[in-house]
Amino acid sequence: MPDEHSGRPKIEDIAAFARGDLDDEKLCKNIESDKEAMDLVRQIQTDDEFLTKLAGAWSEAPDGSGRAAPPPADLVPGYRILGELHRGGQGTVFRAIQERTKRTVALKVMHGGGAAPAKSRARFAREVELIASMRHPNIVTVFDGGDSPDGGCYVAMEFIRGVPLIRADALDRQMDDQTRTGLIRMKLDQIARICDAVQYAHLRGIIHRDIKPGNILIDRDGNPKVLDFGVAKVLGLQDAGEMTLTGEFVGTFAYAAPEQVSGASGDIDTRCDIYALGVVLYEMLTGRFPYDITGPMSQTIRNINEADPVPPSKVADGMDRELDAIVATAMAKSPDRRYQSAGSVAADVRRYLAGEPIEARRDSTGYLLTKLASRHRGPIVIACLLVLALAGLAIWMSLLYVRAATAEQEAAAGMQAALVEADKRASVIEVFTDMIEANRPERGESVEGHEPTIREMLDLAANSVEHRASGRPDIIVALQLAVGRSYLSLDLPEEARLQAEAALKIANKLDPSSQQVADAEELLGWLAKRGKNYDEAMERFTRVREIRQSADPADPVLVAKALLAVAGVEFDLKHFDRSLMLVDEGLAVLGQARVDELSETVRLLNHKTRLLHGRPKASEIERKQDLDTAEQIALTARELCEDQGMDVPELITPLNNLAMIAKARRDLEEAEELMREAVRLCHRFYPSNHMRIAGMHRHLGLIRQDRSSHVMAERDLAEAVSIYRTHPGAGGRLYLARSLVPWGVSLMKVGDYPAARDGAREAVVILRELEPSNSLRLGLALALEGAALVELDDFKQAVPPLLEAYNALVTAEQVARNPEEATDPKLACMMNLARAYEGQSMAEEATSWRTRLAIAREEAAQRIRLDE
Amino acid sequence: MEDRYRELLRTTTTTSLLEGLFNPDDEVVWQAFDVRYRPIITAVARRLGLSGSDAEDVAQETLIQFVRDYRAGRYQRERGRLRGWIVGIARHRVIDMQRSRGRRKEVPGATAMERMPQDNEMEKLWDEEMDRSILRQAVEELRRTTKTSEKSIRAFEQVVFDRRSVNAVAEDLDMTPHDIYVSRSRITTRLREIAERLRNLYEAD
Repeated sequence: MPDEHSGRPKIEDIAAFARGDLDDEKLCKNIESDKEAMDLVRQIQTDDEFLTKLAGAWSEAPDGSGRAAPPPADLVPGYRILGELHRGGQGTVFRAIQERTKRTVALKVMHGGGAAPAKSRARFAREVELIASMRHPNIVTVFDGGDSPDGGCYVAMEFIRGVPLIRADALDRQMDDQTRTGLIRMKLDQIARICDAVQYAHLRGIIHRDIKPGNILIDRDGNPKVLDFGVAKVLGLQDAGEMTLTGEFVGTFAYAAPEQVSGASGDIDTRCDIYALGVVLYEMLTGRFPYDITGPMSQTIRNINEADPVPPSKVADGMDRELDAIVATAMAKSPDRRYQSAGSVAADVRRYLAGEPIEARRDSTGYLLTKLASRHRGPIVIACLLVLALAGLAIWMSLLYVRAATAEQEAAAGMQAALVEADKRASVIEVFTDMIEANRPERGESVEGHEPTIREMLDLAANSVEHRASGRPDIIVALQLAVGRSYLSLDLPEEARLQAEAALKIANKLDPSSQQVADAEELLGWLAKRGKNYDEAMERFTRVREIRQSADPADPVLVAKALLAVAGVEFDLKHFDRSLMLVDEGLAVLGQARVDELSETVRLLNHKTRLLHGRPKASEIERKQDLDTAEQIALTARELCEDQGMDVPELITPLNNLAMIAKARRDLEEAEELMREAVRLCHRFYPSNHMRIAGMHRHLGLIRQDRSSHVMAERDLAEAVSIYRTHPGAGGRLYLARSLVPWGVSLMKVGDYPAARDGAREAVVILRELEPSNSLRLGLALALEGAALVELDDFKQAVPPLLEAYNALVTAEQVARNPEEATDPKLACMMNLARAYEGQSMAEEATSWRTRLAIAREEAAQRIRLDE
Repeated sequence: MEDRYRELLRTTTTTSLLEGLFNPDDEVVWQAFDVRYRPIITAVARRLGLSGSDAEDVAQETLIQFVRDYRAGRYQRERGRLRGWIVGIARHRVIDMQRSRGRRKEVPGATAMERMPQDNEMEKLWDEEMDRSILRQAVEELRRTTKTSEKSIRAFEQVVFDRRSVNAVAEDLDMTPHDIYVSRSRITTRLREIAERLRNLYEAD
């Protein structure tokens, strides 16, 4: 060894020289002339060769026994690590057990430091929630995500036993034409399903950004599963394009779109996924990449940006011009020239498989729409929401709308995707394109700061549907129904009815047994039910059921839905046994079809619970039996939801029902606990002013009132009231009134009499409009108003409402289903009348009411004794 | 028992292990054999595109099948190399696994898409993975048996496995870069020796 102190070359320099890293010419010469140093150089070089192999072998130990000590089993709280599946540059994937569900998961853990997400916890949680909400047979489901103790973060996902989508090497080999055709068809079928998955995610505003064969697993049934949807973003990883520029993931470079490699990250949208799908398709079909990616990076970038890929038919057997066109369209350099949605790729691939003409070369409406979108930023968002609604996703509207405010980027992508999703219903879109173009540019922007409301856009749509889509009656029907559903979701039943009736008329003329007729009848059925026209609703839903059942093949989910609708009306008509039979039939239909349809199954179970709980009981024993059975069924529904291993919105109603049952058992603590969970879930899945949230708060408030937690109850009911106030439709107003009264009661308890008075007055106004003059609810509201006025010493004002309340409550006591509900308020009302008269020194009236109160109390006490 | 199997692994040739394997009650021999070959089979299966758990399944099935064959007298040491025999079994297990996954009734010839290398290609994979396995065993043996100071080994591992710079490691462990280079060279030589000895135990299978 050379001595460091003798002026001979230093060991570090010799090592650098051995590796060709030494730049200093003088030092190099120095080493070359030193025999001992040169021996050392050779030694280091042979050592290096050996050690490189060693390091490689060590880091890739197949059993995970590599240098890194096995991770602590509790690396992520709530998960037990079983082994390592894959170790990458920024993180590691483990096989683990989720303790809570005992389910095997793949746990992707990003190390602390470098890859820690540079975003707020709330944003991270929101993004995880978004990707965890995806349920698609071709997407690897994400269950959970969070911070790991070492400062990194993790995502837990479905553990799939599968192999990565492999390259189509087999196609290069000799094989007969029939086998090759079978193979190509199988691959096309796979890519179509992959596209379905991508489309599903895009509609939720989630872009993959790193689609490649390595991120697509083929499970044991040959089913493709797309991995890591949105995960790159959630975990704070960079985009594929950026990753490659830093030289880290050269492998993914081949799938990066031109706009990604050019680094203009602002231009990245769903269409970079379309491009990657094109490359994957190319590779599956031909077994090679569309461009040469072996050269220097700058050359590869140039190829991606400029080179036209060799058409698949030129490099592989069994291809044709149409497949060339599909691949070329998916991989078009300009995003605007590509397929505008993964759904349209899937559709074209399937058209090809079915021997139908493909649309690859048609100039897509999506393209036009996107151009349009760039010109009208604000209003187009509304239009997109509308298009979403037209795609039959009215319920998503409200959800997406909230996301638009919270996670702008995702929402924008969602809008984009919604637009392009509708591309396959090109005619529908065209109608709207025209509409937007015709209505926006000249007058739309002229009103300062005015963006059209959804209502305005719907009215616009409603009025121009027939004119715009003339000659295509089926499209008119689809449009009218979509607009109708949207009206209904905006609590505008009359407007909805007009649309549905018009749609039904046309659909009946086209084909009285078509699914569109059933769609229209269904909407009208709901409207009838809502208006309490149960006979009409029964007729309509029965028709829906017949059509759904006679479809070939019948869709079990639609059949179950129809059965549930009929069951609901039977319940309304108090035909409990018939309703029960229908629900069981629905459950049997879903069971036999083995459809894994959580929503519909849970809905049926929920109905059964309510039915058992709500039907009249002949005896105490029967009451108890029904309650027990109802609880069992609600627990089943709850388990089904909890088996999902994550929060699902379907769980809300079972919790609500269990609370109702607990309340019936007077287990108020349990009931409160259940409702609190239901409220939490509701906040998670619904926009903050959704009526559903209000309903849950109301229910929780009522339970807390029963527990005498008036301060808490007041808050819940105030929340319900403030939400219902934002819903001006009849439904919202009725529930507003029904929340105002208990809220007022709580306000009285906490001593805020003026607020109680105002709330009661507001309720009275609404109830006078919506309910008969002697209804129990109106009576309660008036009694409350009077009671508040008495407390405020406003005796004179208190008398009229109290008298009216008294009359209504006496009537209610005679006719209501639960007369005892009216009794206590009636007694309180009489007491307040006495006080009101006393306050005005009207002794005679006061005494009269005192006497009547004493008699009424005695009667009530007797009734209770008789009951016992 | 732990010690005996390590000792077997360190000193006993595959031929001797096979002899011991005839006795179904000798768990320790079985364990040594298992540790010697399972990682190789798993790694080969993974390189054929199987996922981690599938590859583990293949290794498990292959080892069991091999021992069954061997005890039934179907495999005889003097008649052929172990590698060829195990590769033959593993190959079928991998194909089975891929077939069961690729099975989709409506598509003819679905399994044909799986690319399965010929035996000679697989034997090449085997040799590479055997080498890696030997290197890993060498490191473990070094850790257990070395007389070199703990600090030198730590420095070695940080430089070689964690790819940290010599200067940084030197500073952390309070050594000079010179020390590290010296011990690195010494440890490398030692590892080479161990690996060479272990390789001989496989007797080219």
